Amino acid sequence: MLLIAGPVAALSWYFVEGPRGRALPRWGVNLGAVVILLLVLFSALGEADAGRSMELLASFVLGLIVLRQWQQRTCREDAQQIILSLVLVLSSIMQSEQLLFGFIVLVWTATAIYVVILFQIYAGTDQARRLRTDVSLESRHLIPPLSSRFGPMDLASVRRTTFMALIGVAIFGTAIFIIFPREILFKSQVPGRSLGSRSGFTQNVDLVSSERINESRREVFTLQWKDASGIPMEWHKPILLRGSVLDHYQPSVGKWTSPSSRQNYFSRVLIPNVNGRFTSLGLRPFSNSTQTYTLDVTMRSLSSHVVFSPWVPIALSATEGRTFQFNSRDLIIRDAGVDVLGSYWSYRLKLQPFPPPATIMNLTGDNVPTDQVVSFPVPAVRQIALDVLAEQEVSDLILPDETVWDRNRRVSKALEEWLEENCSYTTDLGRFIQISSEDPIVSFLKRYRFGHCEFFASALTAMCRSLGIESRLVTGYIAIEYNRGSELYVVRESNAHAWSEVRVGPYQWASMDPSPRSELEAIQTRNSSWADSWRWVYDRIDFLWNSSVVGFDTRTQAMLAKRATGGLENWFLNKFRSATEQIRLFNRYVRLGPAGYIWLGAILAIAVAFMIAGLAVVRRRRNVIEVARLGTTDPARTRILARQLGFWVDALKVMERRGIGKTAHETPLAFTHRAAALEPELAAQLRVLVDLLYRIRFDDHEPKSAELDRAEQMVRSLRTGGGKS
Amino acid sequence: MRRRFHLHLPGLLFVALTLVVGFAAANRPNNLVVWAFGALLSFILVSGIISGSMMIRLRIKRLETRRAVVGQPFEIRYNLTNTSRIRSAFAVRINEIITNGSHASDFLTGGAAPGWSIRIAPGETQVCDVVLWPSRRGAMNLDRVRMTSFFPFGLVGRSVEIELPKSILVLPRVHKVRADLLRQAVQGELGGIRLSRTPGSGEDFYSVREFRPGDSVRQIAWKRLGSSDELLVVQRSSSAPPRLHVYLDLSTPPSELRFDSGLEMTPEELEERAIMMAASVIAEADQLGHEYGLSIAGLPSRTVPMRRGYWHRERLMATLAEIDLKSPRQAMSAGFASNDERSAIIMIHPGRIDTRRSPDRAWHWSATRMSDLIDLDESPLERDSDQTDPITNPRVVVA
Repeated sequence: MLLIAGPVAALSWYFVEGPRGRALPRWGVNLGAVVILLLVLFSALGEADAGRSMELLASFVLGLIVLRQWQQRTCREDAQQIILSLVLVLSSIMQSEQLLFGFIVLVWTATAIYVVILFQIYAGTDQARRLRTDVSLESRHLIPPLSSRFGPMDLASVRRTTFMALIGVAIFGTAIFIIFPREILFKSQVPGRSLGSRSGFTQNVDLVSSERINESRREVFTLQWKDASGIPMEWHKPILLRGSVLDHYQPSVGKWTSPSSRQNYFSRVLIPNVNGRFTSLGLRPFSNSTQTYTLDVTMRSLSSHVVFSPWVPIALSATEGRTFQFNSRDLIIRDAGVDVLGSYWSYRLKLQPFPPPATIMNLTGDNVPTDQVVSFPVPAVRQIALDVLAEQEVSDLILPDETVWDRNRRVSKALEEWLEENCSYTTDLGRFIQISSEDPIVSFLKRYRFGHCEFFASALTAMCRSLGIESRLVTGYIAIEYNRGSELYVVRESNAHAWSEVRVGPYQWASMDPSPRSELEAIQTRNSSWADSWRWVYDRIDFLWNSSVVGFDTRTQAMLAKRATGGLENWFLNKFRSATEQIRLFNRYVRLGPAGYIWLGAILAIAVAFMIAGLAVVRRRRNVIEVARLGTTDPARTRILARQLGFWVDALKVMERRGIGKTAHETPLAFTHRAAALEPELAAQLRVLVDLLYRIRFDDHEPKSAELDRAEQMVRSLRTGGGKS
Repeated sequence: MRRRFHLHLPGLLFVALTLVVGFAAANRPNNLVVWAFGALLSFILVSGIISGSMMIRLRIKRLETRRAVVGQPFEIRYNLTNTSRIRSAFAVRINEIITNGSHASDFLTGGAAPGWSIRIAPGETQVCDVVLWPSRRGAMNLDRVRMTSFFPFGLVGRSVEIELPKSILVLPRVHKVRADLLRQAVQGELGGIRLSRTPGSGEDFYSVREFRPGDSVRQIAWKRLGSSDELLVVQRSSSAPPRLHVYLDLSTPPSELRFDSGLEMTPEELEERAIMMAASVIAEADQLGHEYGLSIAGLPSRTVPMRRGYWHRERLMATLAEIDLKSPRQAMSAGFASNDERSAIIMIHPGRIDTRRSPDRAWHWSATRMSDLIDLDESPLERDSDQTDPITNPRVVVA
């Protein structure tokens, strides 16, 4: 909309305010406003959603602003345009907190300050002129016109004031932003606490939501997979980065969640501020015999407290001292968000993709879930699963020569293959109409057989659980785009993914991804463009924006407060200690003794006095140069004149104190005449002084010191009102 | 000096909007909304700070004022100085605050145009002017000058009031007297009755002086040539201008004033009309070059003797402007207007004409018939006031 509205509004400058001066009539503008209103209303009725109210308001206001740009405007209409633009920005702010929009808001703020300041001058002048004209017309008398000069100097001054106002707004606005009591006031969780901004990743899966899966190519983060010797390599299959584990399905709302009881398994892991050093996540050291890989993750635009990790992380390292939390049951890591401001920038993980049971035991401790009977709350899914297995000619029973874990693997694999072959992947759910009496998973499996990764993973997890196979839904990212030049995996917003994990051993879970791989790769390459090579610049700024602004929350507030108080105190203490130490060292070196210190103090005092006197002389000289307007004369001559004409500056100061100030446009002679008329008793002294001034300044007169002394004496006599000093 | 902050309607609306955004920020976990709230709040703070710090360094001084007349715009000039060395002052509005008790608003029913300065640079002194349009005769007490600025955002205004007490006499409104009325009134009082004190081209002897090249031969004083060798010429006096004495009869208390009830006017309004008529007659007489004087009956005002010229007219106007209609009235004395007076006499009455104590040859005009006597569309005093005002235009010499 902005791309259309911008040029249309810009064109109005040429047509309405340009030489053509063509504008829409008032009735045309009113008619257009009604049409826009009707369009917005139709749009609202077509897709009734209370959440769109601000969007609709913004659309209407934007249309109105553009339309009104095409009419002849008076001061009043201009003021209305400014108010409308404020409403537009505020209603848009309610909708978005993206970096680009934030940038637009900042630019708008700066421009608005300038425009409002200019408008104040323009509107005030217009009103003063109008009132004067009214009086003139009504009284039928000519009155002097309003003097309203506004030149380049004035404009420059307005710009300076705008800049100062902008600085003021930025300082106060930031202060209020920081101290705003979010903890008390925010009714729901601050987004920064969970996730900085739009990233594609969701902690819960909502199958009823009509939100389209994002296909944005925004880079979320990059990762580098290294072998045991530290050499970057491409992994033989896509890397699944786990972010959230969900095993609780609510059929009433079609949502996968993680029960709050799982939060109890989080334990704290402190990462010391030592680069490159790994902190083990296990209870004991890990065996070196298992093949271990290293994963370096660097954020691009994502600002999150979730640490995305493939199965199974054994050690963690960060570039700054941070505290993380490790869930020993799900093997999920997250940033505790204490001690350090903002989100983490990068982290490194040690991984064992094929962990032996000892590794898992080491990580989980006693938190390994016991074998449990699982079920799925939607009965229809079991029948579908059985039908699928029958179609695949696979038995859901445990065969004689296999364990329950083997059965789990075999059955889940069969279900995964069936989903991959019989269901199609799409991000467009326009045709996927939710039926209230039917669970979305059932609709997916029976009715539509198309959907995105969340439907595939939900279907597999649901079918497995309905057959008594322990499985869970995992959300995170899939890394499939490997850049051989930089040896990095680039993870984009469109790589947000969901898959299943099926328990295939007492300590073993197998990742099952039923989403067709070819479709995922097609989405990845479909939207690629030349802009991708520069995207990282924007994404890096986006990270800072998300980390510092969007993700600013109560913990950051608390940390800032702690730093502001404790930090300042420590800073002063450190400085004091350092100064004391320096003095002690100095004393040890020079061994002055009490008399020596007195001498040193005296010398310092004299030095300070000289410095102050020097500054006073420089200041006086500058003052003389300014008052006598010596800026354009020869520098050598200026120096001499600045020394000689001090008496005139003193005289002006004295006269100003007496209430007769010299105006900028007044010549010294004119000032003297005026002052003499007002205070005749000073006339003689002033006449002598101004005569001396003119002779020195314009007649190359070299005054003797006695002459200058006499002038100073006269200045002193001016102070006493013409009497003897 | 009194300093105050002002929050006018746009400012109040902005504060309301800020509160709404604050409410939204508190209920919506969107940090950009919080930032918007902070920015809106800081707009108000910055507005107050900038306008406050800007106004604190402004000084104002009222310059000498011009004459004020009812119904005419009246300009007051000021020297506006920004004593700050760094900061400019922007968008400063200047207003006069009139303190005439309950009559304060009466003086400006016609309206006023405030003074305005777009920018006053650091250390600069500008001349600004306020245009008042007084609608009431009498002493207008200008008590304070108020400087206001809503700069930079028009949200919070800051005003500084400086006490500069000054009383300005607003002269009564004047209109053109209907054609030939005054000429008829003074017809029998043309020159010749008395001697003029200035030389001119009249008929009476004034003096003799030495002959100068260009003098007419007919003017030579031949008789003096016999007793003196010097050639002298006779100088004649100028014609004596007609004389007019205006009597304003305010001897009847307003409560006893008799007039036609169909007029729908109060006695006070009629008395004001009478004053206006007197002023108009004086202005017209001044225009015609007559000598004129003024006497007010019923009030302890002095009688102003016959003169002519700008200053005399201003003196008479000031006398009329100073009339306090609330003063107790005195009966007209027997010898107030004499039959012996060598001038035309016009007696102006607010109500019904009373000829009992006036000379026989006096003209009696009543304020109830003002529209018959005075052309309300034209104002002779306004027409030439700028040219004859020696304060504003000293190059014009008034005879």
